[in-house]
Amino acid sequence: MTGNPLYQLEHIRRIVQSNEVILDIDDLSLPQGRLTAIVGPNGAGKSTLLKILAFLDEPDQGRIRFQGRPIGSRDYIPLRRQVTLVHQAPLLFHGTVFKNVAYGLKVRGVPRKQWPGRVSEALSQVDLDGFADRSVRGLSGGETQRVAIARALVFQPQVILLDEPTAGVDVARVVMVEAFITELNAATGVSILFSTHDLDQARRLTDRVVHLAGGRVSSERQAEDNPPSSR
Amino acid sequence: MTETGLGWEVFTIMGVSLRVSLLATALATLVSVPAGFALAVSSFRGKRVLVTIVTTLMALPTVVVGLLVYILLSRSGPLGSFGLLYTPTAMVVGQFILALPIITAFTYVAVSSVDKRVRKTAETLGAGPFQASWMVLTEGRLGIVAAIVAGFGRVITEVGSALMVGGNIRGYTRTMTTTITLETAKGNFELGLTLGLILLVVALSINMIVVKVLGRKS
Repeated sequence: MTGNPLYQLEHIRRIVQSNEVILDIDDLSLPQGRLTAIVGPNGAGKSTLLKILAFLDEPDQGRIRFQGRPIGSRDYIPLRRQVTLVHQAPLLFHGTVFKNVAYGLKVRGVPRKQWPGRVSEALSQVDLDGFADRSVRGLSGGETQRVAIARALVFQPQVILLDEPTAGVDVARVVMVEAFITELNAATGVSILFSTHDLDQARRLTDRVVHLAGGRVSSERQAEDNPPSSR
Repeated sequence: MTETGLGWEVFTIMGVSLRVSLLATALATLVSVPAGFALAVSSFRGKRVLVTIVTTLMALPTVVVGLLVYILLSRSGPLGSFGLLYTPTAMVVGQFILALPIITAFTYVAVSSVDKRVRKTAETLGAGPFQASWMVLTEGRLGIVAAIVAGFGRVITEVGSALMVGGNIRGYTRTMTTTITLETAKGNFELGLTLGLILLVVALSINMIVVKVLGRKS
């Protein structure tokens, strides 16, 4: 792999009000264009790390480099437009699927004329063709999750962060979600980082696995030369 | 219908009532919606006390507001030089004060009940602070509409403040409620009952709007 890593984290610490250190990472480098799993039990710091990587939360100490560039407090809001986090139980705004998927375009000032085409394309990527005019009220859990992913894909982010994408999903759908994640990475080359507590799942999907325990990186499996999607 | 007939008088009275109350509600909305929103999304010391004060002010007696505005605008009062007492402007001021806590408190409740994930989700999709706040307001819009309608309902039906600072001047500051009070005192129940009926229709319309809006939400 050439060029700068996607993220470089140095001496990152996140401390909560009770003075408890919930994230303590000395050195972590995450590659561009790859599928990376962040594995750990509940309370390991996975969600905190994802929020920091999504620029939704700022560490109390340490430095972050994004694509080689050091990040300061002022960079957080503009960088949120390049990275997106899909929550474990995504929330859809009231209204139609179209309104939800187009939201990222709206806040970026993308001309309204482009919305229908781009929304349609994003919905197609998650196999929800023809869903644009549906109300979000009647969607199933799986459809809700896919709309949330389409909502993230529509503005072509450089990084997609998925917080426990298969938590609470039935076994049949886990296979579909896993296939979707690997295909998305392979087809678009977008960097995807996902958190999971299932080590087997992480290994099934990628060879780049970061283990978190008690807020610290306990081990890392280094990336191979070729991403799994191109193997 | 002539300009001196009962119909024309009722029409004029309704016009004054609606003009004053709509303007007071609109002005209160401009202040109360941002205030209620700020109260809901911020956390600071004494917030609970402030919320309690705002909700208590919802029960502010209209005559007390009338008295305060009267003192303020009377010739010897601090704003007496503007000559606003017994004008529709004075009535707007009184009703504005009455609507403020109602719209603020209901907006606070509406925004507080919006899922906390809305702001976070908007931010993950690239929204800046203003855009994320707007999204929260949008998600709570039905409750906010109900807050504004409740504020309007409060001021269109109040009589104490309108009577004290408006003076019940025929064709100028006479509203539906002040006319009902006056005509009842005179024993002239015809106009009082007609206006009472119209007031009920206005109140019914307000309720129907709220039910329709909330019905759409559910």
